[in-house]
Amino acid sequence: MARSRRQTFRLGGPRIVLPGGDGLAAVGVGPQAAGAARLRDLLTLSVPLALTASGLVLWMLALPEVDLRGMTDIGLVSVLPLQVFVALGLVTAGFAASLHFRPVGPVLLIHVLVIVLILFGTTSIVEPTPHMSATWRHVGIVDYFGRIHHVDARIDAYFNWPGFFIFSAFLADVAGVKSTIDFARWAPLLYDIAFLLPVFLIVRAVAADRRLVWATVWLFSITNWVAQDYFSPQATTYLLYLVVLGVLLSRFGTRASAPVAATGGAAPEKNVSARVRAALRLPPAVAPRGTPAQRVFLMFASIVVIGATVPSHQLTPFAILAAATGLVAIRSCSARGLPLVVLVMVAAWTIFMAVEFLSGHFASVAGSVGKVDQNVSSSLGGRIHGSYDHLIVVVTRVAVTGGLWLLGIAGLVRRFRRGYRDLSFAVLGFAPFLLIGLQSYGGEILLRIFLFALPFMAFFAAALFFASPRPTVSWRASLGLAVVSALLVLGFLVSRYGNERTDYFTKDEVAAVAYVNRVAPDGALMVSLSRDYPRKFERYEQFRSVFVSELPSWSSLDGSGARLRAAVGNVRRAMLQNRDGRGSYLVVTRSQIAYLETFSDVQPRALKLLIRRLQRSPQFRTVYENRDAFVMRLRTARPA
Amino acid sequence: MIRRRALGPIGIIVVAVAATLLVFAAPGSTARPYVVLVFALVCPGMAVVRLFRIDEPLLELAVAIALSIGVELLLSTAMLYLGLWSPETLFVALVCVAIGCAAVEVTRVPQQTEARP
Repeated sequence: MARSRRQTFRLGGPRIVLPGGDGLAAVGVGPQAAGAARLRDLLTLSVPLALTASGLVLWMLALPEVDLRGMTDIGLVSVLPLQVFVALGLVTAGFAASLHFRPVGPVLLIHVLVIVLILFGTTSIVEPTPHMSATWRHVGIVDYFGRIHHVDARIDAYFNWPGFFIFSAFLADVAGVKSTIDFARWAPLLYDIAFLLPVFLIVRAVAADRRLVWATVWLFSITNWVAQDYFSPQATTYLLYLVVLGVLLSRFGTRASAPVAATGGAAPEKNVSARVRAALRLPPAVAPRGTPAQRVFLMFASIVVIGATVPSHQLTPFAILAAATGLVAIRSCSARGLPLVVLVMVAAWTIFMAVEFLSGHFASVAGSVGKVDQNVSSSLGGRIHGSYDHLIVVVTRVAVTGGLWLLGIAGLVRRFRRGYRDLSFAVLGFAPFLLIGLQSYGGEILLRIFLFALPFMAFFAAALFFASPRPTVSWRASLGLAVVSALLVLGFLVSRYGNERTDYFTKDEVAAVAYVNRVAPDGALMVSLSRDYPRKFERYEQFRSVFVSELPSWSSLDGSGARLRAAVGNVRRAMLQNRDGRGSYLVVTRSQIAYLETFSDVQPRALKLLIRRLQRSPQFRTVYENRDAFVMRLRTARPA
Repeated sequence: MIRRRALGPIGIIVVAVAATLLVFAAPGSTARPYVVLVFALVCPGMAVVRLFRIDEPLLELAVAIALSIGVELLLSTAMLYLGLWSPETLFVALVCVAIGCAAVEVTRVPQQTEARP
C-alpha cells in the first residue's frame, strides 16, 4: 500500500495511513469501498475532534457569565453556567469516541489537554487573583529569599525545607520578575499539563494497549481533585516523583507485564486458589533496557532529582522511598541500592539541616508516628464539619475517592482474571498508604496518599474498561467509560472547587493587605478573624499573626450583647500584645467572613453583629476600607 | 538524518543565546520571563540527556525537565546556604553547560553517520 503524503501519527498511536488516490486501488479494493473507507476514517477522526472543539468554544463563551460573588458553600459549581457542563459533556464524548473508533495518540492528547484546560484553567481565568491563602504565603517566602539571601530556620517550617522557594527566587531573579504572583495564578494549569507526560510514561512502561494508556491519563486528570497543584513545593516535588517512577519503570523494570500465557508461562488456572498462588509468583524476568552508560546516567539523574525533593518537601521523599522499596522488594526494579540512597539523603537533611525545627516541634512531628487511627481520624473527622452545603462537598470528595478506588479494585480483578500480573502497579498503588503511619500531616495525609497513588488507581480503573488490548472494543466499554467519566467530572468540580467561596480573593482584598504591607512597621502584628485571606505575600519575616477565631473564647460567640462585647475585648487585647497596640493592625476581609460562615460553628448573624460592633467601636479607627475589606487600628495607639 | 538529529542541539543553542541576550542586553523585554523560563526548565537537562542518545523523545523530555529543575534547585539552595548567592552566575553556568553539551552533540553527529557501514 502506498504511503500517503499526509503524515502518519506515531505518538502512542497506530501508524495511520491515509492513502492517496491510488493507494487502496493498488491492493485491489474497489473505488466505492475505498471511498467508504476513507469517509469512515475521516469521520472517526474528525467528529470526535469536532465535539471537543465545540466544547472548548462553548466553555470560552460561558466564562464571562461566571459571577463569583454569587457562590454558595457548594463552591464554584453553584455559579457555573449550564454551557460549561455541556462543554464538559462534549469533550468527554469526544474523548470516548476517539478512544473507541480511532485511538490516535495526538488526537487523544488534544482531548486530554482540552479537559485539563477546562478543569484546571477556569479559576485562573475567571478569578482576578490567585486563589488559596497558601499561594500568597509561598509568594511571600520566595520574595523573602529574593531580598534576604539567608535561611532563618526559626521563622517557620517552610524555612527548614526551603529548596523550592530558593529555586523559585533564582528563577524569578534571572527571569526579571519582581513577584511570582503572575506565575502562581497559572500554576495549577501548568502543573497539571506537566503531570501528563510522566503519567503517560509510567503507564506506557507496563501497558502496550494505547486505549488503556490514554484512558489512564484521562482518568488521572479528571480525578485529581485534591488541589495540591498550586504554586507550592508539593506540586513541584510531585512532578519529580512521577518522573522518577517513570524512569524506574521504563528503564529499570525487570518484570514483564504481558499476560502469563503470552509470556510462555502456564495458562491461567480456573481454580481461584491456584490463580491466587499463580498471581503471587513473580512474572518472568526481562533484561533492563538501554546501554550500561544510559542506565548509569539515568540512575544518576534519578538520584539528583530525588535529591532535589529532600530539601523541598517533608513528605515526597518518603513517598519515593516507599515506592522504590516496594519495587525492589518484589524484584521489579534493578536499582536495588536506591532505597538506601534515598534514606541516607533524607536522614542527612533531617539531621544536619532541619534539626532546629524538629527539636522545637518534635512532639508534633513525631508524636503521631505509628498512630494510624489517630492520623486517619484527624484527616477525616477534622473535615466533617461546617455548613450543610459544605458537608455535601465533603461527601462528594469521599464518593469520588472511594468510587475511583472501587473502580480500581474491580479493574485489578479483571486484569487478574485475564492473566495479567500487574504486581508493580499494585505495589505502587499501595505503597503510599504506608505514609499514614508517619503522621497526620496537618490532617492532610489521606489527601497526599490519594495523590501519590492516583496514577496507579487510575490505571486499574481504566483497566476495568480496557483490560486487554484488542483491535476493536465493545460499545459497552466505551459507553461505560464515558458515563463514569461524566460522573467523575461532576464530582471533580464539586470536590476541587467546593471551598472556592472561601478560597478566592478579590482585588480589593489584596489591595487592603498590600496597604498594610506598605505602612506597617517591622515587627507589626496582623490580627484577623481567620487565616483565610491573601496574607504575608510581602515582608514575610516582618509580621506576626493572630487569628481571633482560634482563641479559646471564639466558640462561645453568639448574638448576645455580652458575648459580642467580650469578642471585641478579645480583639483589642490581641492587638495590645504588640507594643501597646502601636504596631497592630486588624485586617478583616470578605474571604475571612466566608470561611467562618462555612466552617465555623458561629452563626453568620453573630459574625455580622461582631463586624458592625468593631466598625462602630470607639476603641478602633478605620485606616483603610474598600468593598471587600477594612483595616483598623486601636484608637488609643500612639504612632509607632 | 544529520539535519534532523542536529535540530535538537541547535534549538538548545538558539534558546540559550536568546535567554542570555534577554537577561544581559535587554533586561526590560516582555519576552524575557518566557524565554528564560523555557531555557531554565528544559535546556540544561535536555543538552545533557541528548548526549546519551536514549532515543525515546518523551522519556528524554521528562528527564530533561526533571533534571533541569533538580540541578538548579540543588545548586541554588547550596549557593544560598554557602552565602554565595548569585543567580546570574548560576544562569551563566547553565548556559555554558547547555551550549557546551549541545555543541558536543552537533560535532558528534557527522562522525556517527560516517561510522555506518
